Formats: sequence, C-alpha cells, structure tokens
Amino acid sequence: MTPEKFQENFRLIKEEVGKILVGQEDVLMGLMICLIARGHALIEGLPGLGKTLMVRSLAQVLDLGFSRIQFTPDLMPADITGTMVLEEESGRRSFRFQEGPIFSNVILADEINRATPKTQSALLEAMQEGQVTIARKTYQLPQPFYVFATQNPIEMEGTYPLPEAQLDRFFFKILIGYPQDFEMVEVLSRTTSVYQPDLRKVIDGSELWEMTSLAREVPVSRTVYEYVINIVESTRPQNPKSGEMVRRFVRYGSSPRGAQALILAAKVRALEKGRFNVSLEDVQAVCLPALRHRLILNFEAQAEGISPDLLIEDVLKRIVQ
Amino acid sequence: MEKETLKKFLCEVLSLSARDAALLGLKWAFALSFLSASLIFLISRLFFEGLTLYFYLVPLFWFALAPIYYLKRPDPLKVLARVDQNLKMEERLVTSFEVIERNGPGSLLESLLLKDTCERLQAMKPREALPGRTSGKVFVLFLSALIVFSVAPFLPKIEFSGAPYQELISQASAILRELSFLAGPEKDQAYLEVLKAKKQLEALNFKEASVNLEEAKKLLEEAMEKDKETLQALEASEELSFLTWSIKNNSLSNLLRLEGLTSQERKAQAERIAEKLKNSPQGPLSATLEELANSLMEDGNDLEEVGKKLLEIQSREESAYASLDNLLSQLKDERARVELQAKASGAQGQLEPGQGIGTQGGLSISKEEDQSGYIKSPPNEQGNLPQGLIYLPPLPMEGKGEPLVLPQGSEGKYQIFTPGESQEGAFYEYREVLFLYEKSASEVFLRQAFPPDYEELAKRYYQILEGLR
Repeated sequence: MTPEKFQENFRLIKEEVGKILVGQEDVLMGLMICLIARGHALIEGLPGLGKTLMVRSLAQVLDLGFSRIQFTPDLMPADITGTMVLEEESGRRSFRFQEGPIFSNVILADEINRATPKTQSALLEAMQEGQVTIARKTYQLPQPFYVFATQNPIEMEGTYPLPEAQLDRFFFKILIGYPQDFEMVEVLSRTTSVYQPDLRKVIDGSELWEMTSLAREVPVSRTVYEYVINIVESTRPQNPKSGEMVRRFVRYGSSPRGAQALILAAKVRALEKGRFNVSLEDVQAVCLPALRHRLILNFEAQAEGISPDLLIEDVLKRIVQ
Repeated sequence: MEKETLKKFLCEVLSLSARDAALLGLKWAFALSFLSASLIFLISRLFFEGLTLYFYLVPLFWFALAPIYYLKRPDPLKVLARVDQNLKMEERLVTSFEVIERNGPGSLLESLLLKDTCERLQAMKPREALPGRTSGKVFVLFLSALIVFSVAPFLPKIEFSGAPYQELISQASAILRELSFLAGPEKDQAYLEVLKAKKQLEALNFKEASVNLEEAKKLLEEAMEKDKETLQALEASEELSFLTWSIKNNSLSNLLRLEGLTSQERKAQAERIAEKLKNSPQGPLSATLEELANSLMEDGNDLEEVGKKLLEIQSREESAYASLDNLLSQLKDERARVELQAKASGAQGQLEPGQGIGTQGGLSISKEEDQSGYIKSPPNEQGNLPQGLIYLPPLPMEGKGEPLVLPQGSEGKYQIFTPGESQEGAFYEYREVLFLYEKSASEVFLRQAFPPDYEELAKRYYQILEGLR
C-alpha cells in the first residue's frame, strides 16, 4: 500500500461514517487511529451522543464483524467469552464450545464499568493476546480484534471502576462531548426524517492490515523518541523531571505502554496528514487520548477536580522541544 | 540524487553551525569583555582609583570562555532539530539525517521522506536555516557597554562614609591608636593583623581585610583585658601625682581638667579633688588646695576668673613652699642620721624596699624614691608605706645657699631649680620661673608614662600662660 492509498482510505472511511454521524471528528479520528494502530479504545461520554452508532458504523464500513455486549452487574465472564455446552450426537454426549459475543472483530462493550471486576477481567486476555482460554483450551479470536468500551462518567452508583491493569490495555481513552449547535441542526434533520443512509463497505480487513503495516513503517527520529520518553517520564511523580503539579496530584504516571501508544498513534496521524515521518506535533496531538487514562490521580486531585488532561497539558508545556 | 543533495545540505548546515558556534563564542567574549571593562571603568570612576589591573584582567577572563563555547556546541542532531523548527520542516530534516546515517532509505516511506525533504529544501539556503546565527543579546551587551563608557566620564566621584574602604581604614586607625597604649604579645599580633588588613585594603580585598581587622579587634580586647589591672593602678597613682604636681607648679591644670564639663560636673570633680587633697600628705598644701577646690566649685566660674583666683592662691603657696624647706632640712637631718647609723652598723644603703628612712614632718622618703623620682606617702603607725606615689616637685633653692642634699642614688633624677640669686624669703614673679617649671614638666613627660590627655592639657596650660605673658 502506498501512502497515497492510505490517505485515500482514511478519507473514504471518514466520509462514509460521516454520512450517519454528524460532527465528532476528533472522536472519529481517535477511533480510526485505534483501528489502524490495532488498539482498543475506551469511550467516555454521556448517553445519547452516538457512541454505539459510531462504532457500529465503523465496523460496517470496514466490513468487520460487530458484537455489542451490554455490561450489567449480573453479566458473567462466560457470557462474554462463551461456554462449554453439552451436546448429544448419535447417542454420544460431548462438550462443545459455544463461542461468546467476544468472537467478533469489533466488540462494543457498552457501559463496561457496570459489570463486576471478575467479568471485566474476562476481557484482559482477549485485549492483550487476542485469545481466550476456556477449560484449559485457548481459542484465537478473529483478527483484527478491537474492543471499544464505553462508560458513563456521571453514574457512579452501582459501577465498578476499571482496574488500572485493564485501563492500561486501552490504546486510547476518547472523551465524547456534546455536538455543536450547527451540528445539532444536522443531527435533528437526519434523525427525524426518513433519511436512511446506506453505508457501503470501503475497505476490508486485509486492507486495514496493510494500512497498519504501512503506519508501522513510518520513520521516527531519535529526537521524537526522546521527546516521547520525556513526556512519559514527566508524568511520573517520582521522576525528577516531573513538574510541581504532577508531583502533587499524580499517584502513578504512565507505563511504557503509554509511550508505545504515543509513537504508534503519531505514526498513523503523520501518514494521515501526508507526511512520511513523525513530527513532534503528531505526538502532541495524540497525547491526551493516549495518556489520560494512564495517569492515576491521588485523592487530592480528585478533591480539587484536577483532570488528567490538565496535568498532561502542563507536562507538554514544561517539556522543551 | 535526493540523498546526495540532502547530504550536501546537511553537511553544509552542520559545518556552518560549528563555525557559527565559534564565532558566537567570540562575539560573547567580546561583548562580555567590553561590558566588564566598562563596568570596572565606571566603578573606578565612582568609587576607587587604581583598578587598572582589573580593567585588563577581567575582560581577558571572558576570552577564555570563547573556546569553551565552541567545544560545548550542540551535537548535529540538536542543531538539525533547531533547523527543523526554524524552517518549519516538522522533523523531516532530522529524520532524513538519521535515514542517511543508517546507509540510506530502507523502505518506501523513507525514500519518499528523503525526496520530500529534498524538494522542500531546494528553495532554501543552508545559511538561512541556521539557528541562533545572530544573537540579539550580544548586541544588547555591546550597547550597554557603550552607554556605560560614554556616561561614566561625566559622573562625579561618589564620597560617602559607608564606603567599605574608608570604613575599614578608619577601623584600622582606631585599632592602631588603641594599640599604642598597650604592651604585650597580643599587641604585636594585633599589629600584624592590622598590617595584613592594610595590605588587603590596598588590593581592594575588603572581605579579607574585614577578617583581619576582626582578628585584630579580638587581640586588642585580649590585650586590653590583660592590661586592665595595670592601667587601673597606673591611673590611680598618676592621677594623684598629676594633681599634686600641677597644684605645686601652678594649680591651673586642675581648672583645665574641668573644661567642657557642666556646672554640676565641675562641682563633682572639685569635690573629688578636694577629698583627695584632704587625704594627701603634703600637710601645709592641703589648705591651699582646698581653697582652690572650693573656688572651682563655685557656679559660673570661667577660665579667666579662676586664673586670677589661682594667682592669688599661688602667692599663698609660697608659704607652703617655705614649709617644705623646713621639711627638707628635717629630711636632710634624718638622712644624715640614718647614714650614720648605717655606717655604724656596716650596712650602709642596705635598706629594704619599702622600708622608711624618715618619718618626720609628715613626709617619708623611701628607697623606691631613688629609682623612680617619687616620694612615698607617709607610713602608717605600723611603719608600712601606703599605696600610691606622689611626684616630688622641683624645689626652690634651699635656704642659706646650701645645695639640697638628695637621697643616695637619686642623682640626676631631680631637677633643682636655681632661679638667679635667690635669697631666703625672696619672692619671684611666676613669669620668671615659668620656663623652669615648663622645662621640669617636659622632663617629667619624658620620664613618666603620662596619660596622653593630661599631657595635652599641660601643654595647653603653658600655651595659655604664654599668651597671658
């Protein structure tokens, strides 16, 4: 695949999803970066902002299998991964593995924080290894495999915050906000009429794989690597490079996965912008979604309403390019 | 082709960068030297003289930094990163440089990157891409130095008491003045410290000078502490000696001592003097001195009035001197008696120090008198001599023209006054004997460690008398 083809595919996907989704370009961009970089995304936003629609549309455009799992407190791990069922065939009884909804390319884990930690952890192996193990038997998940989880930021009653280990496995955490006024007009116009867009398949899984491979080939200079390392290290309060705010409000900084996510996402963005190398600006552009869920804040930060985004922006300001 | 073009561009940029680093280092050195020189010029103009050496040395120091600036220039990657920023190349240049360094492009994207970078650079000149080629800060420094140089000659020298040089010099002088009254090893050490401080001051090293002066002060305090007892003893004896001497000579010194005092203070001083004189062993003089003290105690007395009073008193003092003549003759008899006794016992002149040799007439001459020129006060009933010394004043010629017989071993220590053809009972105007008294006082000053203030007062006393004549 050539860079021109990459850009063309990118543009087509955006256009196609744009038929059904109004605005939210940053969110869509984030999701597409995740798709090309082979990462999972945690989408946080209020109900009714088009999260499910966006993910479903993307899967449709990319011609990928789609499953939606509504997470509830009584959801069990087997409900996600699948279970062994007893079958009788020709008088012989045997166990057969019944695949769960996780056996799909794009999984929409809706309101993931409503399930118990036990159920949430059922996704851990799938997200990291692309496989599930049931009854001592490992089953490979279809590739590509993406988990797009959503969570509601305001309803804390009866929810189970995701453990840090699982949060770290999400490539991006994308915040979805209210659409602009002019976008709302378009939303209302489309959703209250007989308008029924027909989404067509733009690329398939193999092309997506080629895009992923091409993105990984984008050269990165040592300067950019050092910049990324500086950013990640500056998010750790124990590090002497970190600033006053980080030392005061952060309990744990970003893991090395954060640095990997920054580089990969920056590569995808560079190609999308028609560049053949990663620039510092690419890194800065993907810093917030790549790091905001990797900063574990302390009680003081929560009490004072300090958001991870504020701390990351402070880190970026402090680091000399 | 793109690779070669790009390589050439990068090499040129890096070469220029190194050259610029050296040039920039020199520029900084020049600017800082110029500024340092101007500041030294300004300081020397305003506060000190003799900073010529610093005028040359400090600027030279900055030139030593120029090669360091060159050696510490940033590595090529950092230079290219800056060039990237300058040209808004979004890290294309630095990434291309790394690709070339890795023996060329290894993938389609790397080839495209080199091509893209090369195309973008074709319209640019390497010289334009260099970061920090010119430094506004250097020009600001040059400008500042020029302003200082142009303004400094027109500024007046600032004189203020708080200048460290003046202050430290004053401290050194004060310490030396104090040391002149002291003795002992501490004095020598303190003196050395002051000398060191002076040397440091000459080199304008105020900090070291302060340290030396502090040390000198400590040593001075130690010396003063050790000398305190001696001073107290000296003060006690010298004060009484001075009083007696001055009264016997003309009594005006007492008045002079009261100069600058308030009325109350004069009274107190006069009372103190009167108390001392009451206890003095002079006998006939006591009444005269008491009278003097009383006159001083009067309110509103000024120099002239008391001077007149003193002249009156002096005439009456003559009778006191006559009493002294009697006293001395008794003394002579007593000495002759003692010598006879000594000869008889075969132990002539073997008197123990402090042992009285005569007690008649309320005066006693001890062995110490022979060595010091002082007469001890009379011994008490137990025959022990009291503490304190009084000065033996110059005496008029003994009656009947006979020379005064002085104690054994005291030759050359007493001044014998022979004012012309003196006759028994004759009176002399004080003007006639003034020069003799003056001479006597000067000799006393030479012999005796007189309190400096008293010495000054005595000099002024004679100056006043000279003026009256």
